[in-house]
Amino acid sequence: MTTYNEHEPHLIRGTEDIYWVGFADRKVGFSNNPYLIVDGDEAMLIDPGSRAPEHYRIVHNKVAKVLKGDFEKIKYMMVQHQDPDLCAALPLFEVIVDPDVKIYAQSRSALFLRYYGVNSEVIPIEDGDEFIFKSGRKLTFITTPYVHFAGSHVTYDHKTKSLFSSDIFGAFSINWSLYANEYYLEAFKAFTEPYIGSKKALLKALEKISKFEIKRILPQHGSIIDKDIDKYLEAAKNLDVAQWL
Amino acid sequence: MALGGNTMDKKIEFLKEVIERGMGIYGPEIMENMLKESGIEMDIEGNIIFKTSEPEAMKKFFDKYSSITPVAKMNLQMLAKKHKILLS
Repeated sequence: MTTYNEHEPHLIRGTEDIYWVGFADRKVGFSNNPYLIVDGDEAMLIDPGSRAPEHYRIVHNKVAKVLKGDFEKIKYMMVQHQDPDLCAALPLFEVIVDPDVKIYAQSRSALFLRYYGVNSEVIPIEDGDEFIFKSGRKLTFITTPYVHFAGSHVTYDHKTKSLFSSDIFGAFSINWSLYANEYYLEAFKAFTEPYIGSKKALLKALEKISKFEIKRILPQHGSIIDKDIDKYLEAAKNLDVAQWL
Repeated sequence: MALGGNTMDKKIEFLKEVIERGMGIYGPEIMENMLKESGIEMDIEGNIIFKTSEPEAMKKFFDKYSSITPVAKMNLQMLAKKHKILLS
């Protein structure tokens, strides 16, 4: 059992440098999970999230705490698809992070980022592309088309064997906890089944993800999964998606 | 919200999945209270027992279930489609 204070940034258990800097909206049952990788003197902010003041303030303050106010340490930001709950805060962060910040997004999402008012360089990524920190730490980008958007991707961190899974393995739950609890499988279905429109696309994404050794799944919504990974992968294959037709 | 024109077996299967899904969305405490207040009990074997008339209990339950958060309503509607249940 890991104790945590959800009002503080949280170092993900089993890692030395990945922080959860998100928040949970318990009224709706929707949590947002931006993550921050701090690798030496470089940091990457993943899916920074909402620009609503009450949301942005939380993420901003948590990032500030981790970086002790040194926002310029953020040399990279990455968004795993184009939705506002991941991207809307990009323009707010880009003016306080490293002025030469680079933003990574799958090519089919990248073209939409300007519509948020993003001015920084956007690097479009393709399936299998790699990102390497100065330390040599490697991230692999895995595109997951139509799960749930054509421009979706997930990201594998080779150092910690962590999968940043974007909306895959996300959840809706008023009964939220940072790490998946015994009811998470149903909370996962509650989020995933209504939002994924193709079983074929889902199975393809899962096939691609399964090639990696995964120690933990870090979704953009819901809870972190670091136990029974195979159970969740198997459950995902059996989801009843595309019912809302 | 009520169920019309459906067989009892279909309704019960649907209700069971809605309850199961609710354990994820709401957690056991809220779900148990919601069932109790609606006059519905589930025994240890998973059988459904209605404490009042079945249509009244179901209506009460679905109204409560879908009123707390829109994500529960979304799931209720989706599961109804999956089970080919008419919600009215």
